[in-house]
Amino acid sequence: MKHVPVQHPSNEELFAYRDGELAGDKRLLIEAHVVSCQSCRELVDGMSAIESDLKRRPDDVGDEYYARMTDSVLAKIDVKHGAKALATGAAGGAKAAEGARRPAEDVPRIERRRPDVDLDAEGERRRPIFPWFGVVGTGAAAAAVLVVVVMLAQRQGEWVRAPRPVATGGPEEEQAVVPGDSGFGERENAPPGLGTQPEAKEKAGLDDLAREAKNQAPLQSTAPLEKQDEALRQERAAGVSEGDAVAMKRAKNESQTFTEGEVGADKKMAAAKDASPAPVGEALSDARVQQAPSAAVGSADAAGAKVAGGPPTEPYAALLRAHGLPPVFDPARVDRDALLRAENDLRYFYMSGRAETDSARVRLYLAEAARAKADPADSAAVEAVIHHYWRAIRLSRQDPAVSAMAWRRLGEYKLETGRAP
Amino acid sequence: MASERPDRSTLSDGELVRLIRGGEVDAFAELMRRTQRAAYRLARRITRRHEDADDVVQDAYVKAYKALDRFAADKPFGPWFLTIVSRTALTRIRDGARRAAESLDAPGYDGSAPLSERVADPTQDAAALEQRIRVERAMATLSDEHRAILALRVEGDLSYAQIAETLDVPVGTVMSRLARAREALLAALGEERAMEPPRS
Repeated sequence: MKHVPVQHPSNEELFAYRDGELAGDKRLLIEAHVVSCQSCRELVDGMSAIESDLKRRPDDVGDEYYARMTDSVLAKIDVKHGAKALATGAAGGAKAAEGARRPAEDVPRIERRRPDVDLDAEGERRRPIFPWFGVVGTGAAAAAVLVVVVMLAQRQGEWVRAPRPVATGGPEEEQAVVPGDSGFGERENAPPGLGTQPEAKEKAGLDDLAREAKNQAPLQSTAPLEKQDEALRQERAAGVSEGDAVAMKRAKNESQTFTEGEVGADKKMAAAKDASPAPVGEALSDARVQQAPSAAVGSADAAGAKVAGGPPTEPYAALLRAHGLPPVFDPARVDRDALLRAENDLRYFYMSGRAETDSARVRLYLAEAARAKADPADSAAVEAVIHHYWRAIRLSRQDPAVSAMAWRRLGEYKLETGRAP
Repeated sequence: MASERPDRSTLSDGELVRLIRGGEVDAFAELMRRTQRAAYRLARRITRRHEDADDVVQDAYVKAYKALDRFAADKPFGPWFLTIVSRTALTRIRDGARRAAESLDAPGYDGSAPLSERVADPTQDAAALEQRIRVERAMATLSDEHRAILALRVEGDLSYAQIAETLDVPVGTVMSRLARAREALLAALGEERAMEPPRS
């Protein structure tokens, strides 16, 4: 009797049969062969045993790791979700983000819905994510530039207009604004402040812009912008005490535009402190050295980062815990990889306006992240790092620990990069 | 933090997704709880490093959250999410992320015992333990492509169609590529056995 060689199925077919990927006649055919062919059965069973061993590989991570991962991911999502909620602008970003975190039983579901979208409708699709931060940041920057342009134009007499006296009650201002004088002359003689822009005061819709601009002392100075930049450079080179002195002097000049009837002495100093961290002159000089992400952070500054102080807030602490980082950067306790992993989260946290009293701490971390990535031979990158340190220093006036660390790190970095201390 | 979240373990994936779409971000934690171990193991198999796997899984969750509107809520979340994990992991290894061949004798990421000790399940006999170690060593010798497709099938438990979608190749290619990967694993195991000292 002639021996007929056995036709084995291909390995593709055998493994597909084992994986349950075959159907119909093909599956029945292979099954019949495997049942009767020992070598094919051994191959299939052997592969099953190997894959069973692979599946039983023990993890070197446990429940604690997964819990930390959950917190970290939710923090990322929450920050981004907060950003989207801010963009809708319906109830304020912080409130919207907070609402999104509350359990269903606390907040009626309908209140958290966007009014313009029926989420239950078939085929419902959420709108594509729009870069609202870019729009808001660009808008803020454009507003600042617009104010500068208007001021320059007025100073150069290109936009001559006789302003009406503004009834702020300030004696200096009343003396400065003389009806009938040319706009150019008034601008030269006028004290700092938007009191000489009555149009802005009259339009309620521009009040916020006026308030923001009122905090930007160098813009209201009559000194040329180039001189303001030079003053800032000198301040940066001078060190902490002189730098603070310059900033406070500038802030005090600003505070003199208020009258005693408007604000008390305490409010003057509070306004002075708020005014000094975010001068427009610096924003302009920043624009020359900032790279894109840092520029976006810079616009967040202008949008209302607060002077730091007090203990870390819980959202900030949770964010850092998720990355295993201490509340205040410490080179002895922070691993470079962990720092770089946390960078994006910190930047989102800052840009979403949630940093508030943690602003200095966040800026210090951003400085360190930028430093970790910066090529010392790249002067623009080095300048960006120094800018971050300066921001942290300016924001940390009420937080000595952050201030001291930022000064120390800035000094070390300047030495490292061959810049004057 | 986790204890503050309401218990949603009885809800289906689809119900959770609807809650998330309605603004309940915390409901995402329950989806993560259901999938993160498989996701981590899949990413770890593909990338071979804890740090890379950690980044991959976290990135994948953020991507999944942003893409939830494209998820069909009547289907299970796990396989859909694992395709995102695998794509993210494959992109990472294709982009040349820093990684080293995983050593069975290297300590765990948190300083825990090395894998060669952790596989030592006292309930198993010595031969079974040796076999598991051999399988791990053989797996570590495979190419990225073979290891990845095996991981998708074994750790991810994905169907051929899902693997095909992940890798953007036809199902027939998945079938042949998976067979080549298994043959390579068997060959590596054969070499592993050949390198063992003869038993007395």
